[in-house]
Amino acid sequence: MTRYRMKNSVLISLFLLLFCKTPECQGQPSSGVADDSYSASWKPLIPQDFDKGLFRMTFDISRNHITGLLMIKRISANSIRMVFTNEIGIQFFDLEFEDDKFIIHSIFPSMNRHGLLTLLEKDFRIILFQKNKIKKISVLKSKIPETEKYLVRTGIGTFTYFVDAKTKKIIRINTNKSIMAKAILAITHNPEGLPNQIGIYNPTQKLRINLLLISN
Amino acid sequence: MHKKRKSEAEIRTFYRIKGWSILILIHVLPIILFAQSNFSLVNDPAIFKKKLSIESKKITTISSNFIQEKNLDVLSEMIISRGHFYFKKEKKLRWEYLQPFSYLIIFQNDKIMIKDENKKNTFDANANKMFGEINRIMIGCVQGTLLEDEKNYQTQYFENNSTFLVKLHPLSPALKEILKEIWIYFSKADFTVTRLEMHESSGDYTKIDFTDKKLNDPVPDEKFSFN
Repeated sequence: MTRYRMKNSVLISLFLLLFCKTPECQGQPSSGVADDSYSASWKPLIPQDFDKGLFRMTFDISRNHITGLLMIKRISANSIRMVFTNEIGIQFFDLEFEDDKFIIHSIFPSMNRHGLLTLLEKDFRIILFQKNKIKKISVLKSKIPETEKYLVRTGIGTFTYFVDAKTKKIIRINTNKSIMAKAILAITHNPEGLPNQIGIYNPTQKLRINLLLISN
Repeated sequence: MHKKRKSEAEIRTFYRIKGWSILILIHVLPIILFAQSNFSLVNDPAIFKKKLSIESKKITTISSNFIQEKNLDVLSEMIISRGHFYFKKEKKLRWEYLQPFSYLIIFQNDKIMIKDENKKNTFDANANKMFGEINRIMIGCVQGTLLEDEKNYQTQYFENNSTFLVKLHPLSPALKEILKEIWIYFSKADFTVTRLEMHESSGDYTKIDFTDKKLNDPVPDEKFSFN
């Protein structure tokens, strides 16, 4: 019985370690200091005045490698639509992102999986994320040269942002909240406008999305 | 003075002719265009199918350029791609996209090879449902065999003075989810495909126009491999 209890407590501890290792679970980060200056200069990945962008998209999940074109277009002030088609023109998905709504206009039958759609919504919301969703930004100590590190608490989760110290542009975003929805985004920028390249990696689901800007 | 009056009259005549020309163009051009696009039902599809079968047997290779327009109706956007197309009997196809990105897809019998930038992938068309269907549609369109596939498609035949248009309505529920209709345009001159349109239920469509077509020119087998 004692052994059983011990085994259970070890499992619970492991569970807590795994799921509550994020600064959000631990309360304030040890090195985190609220940063109003960065908050004031914070720029979203997709500019607020953005109209449209055409990206070359590769989509790797398990052993499937899908490629095509992703058109992202602002439909209204609070709505953005994403259409992904393959090179020959067959549509994989047509998704719409509103403030709190996620509308699936069409989805290719083999991609119509609840888990995959949830993941896609979460990943794309990180890209589309705007300043008005920020609750608090704290400075973290960065070990990477010429890079600043911030803990960004938002309405859709908590993220660690790695920012180029010179240009103040976001170069990497890590989600902190949970293992299942863990995502790592790597970004390279154009001098102006939309990012040149966005790489999204979900380690748990082994989903990798790469977006390369063609035109805007 | 006389010269000046003459030149004024010439100018007036010029503008009168120009005005009439524009008027004629405004009235006649739509009639010409309408006549070109105005399709009527083919009286006897069997004659067309027989003729297509005879003519397609004469073709061993096709090489051409293509322009592809993907119309995203809801976004009011058009994505235009360009590239080269090669076909070799029996079942070899090479689609090479050059703009706005580099992408190569080769269909060789039941094997599908894709080169996307530096990544190469090979699929078995029979094992991969989606690519299998794309393979069947593409080869079937070029060879005209898709018209015989009564199990999977319901066909309608139209014609105008220069073109035959075959509209294919998928019958299987799985295919219906992907495509609403496939339109294949055949030239009346040589019975080759001049245009391919894939229409989706959403109203979006893909139009592929084949240009600078060369028939029965030598196409090396190397075109249908990555090497």
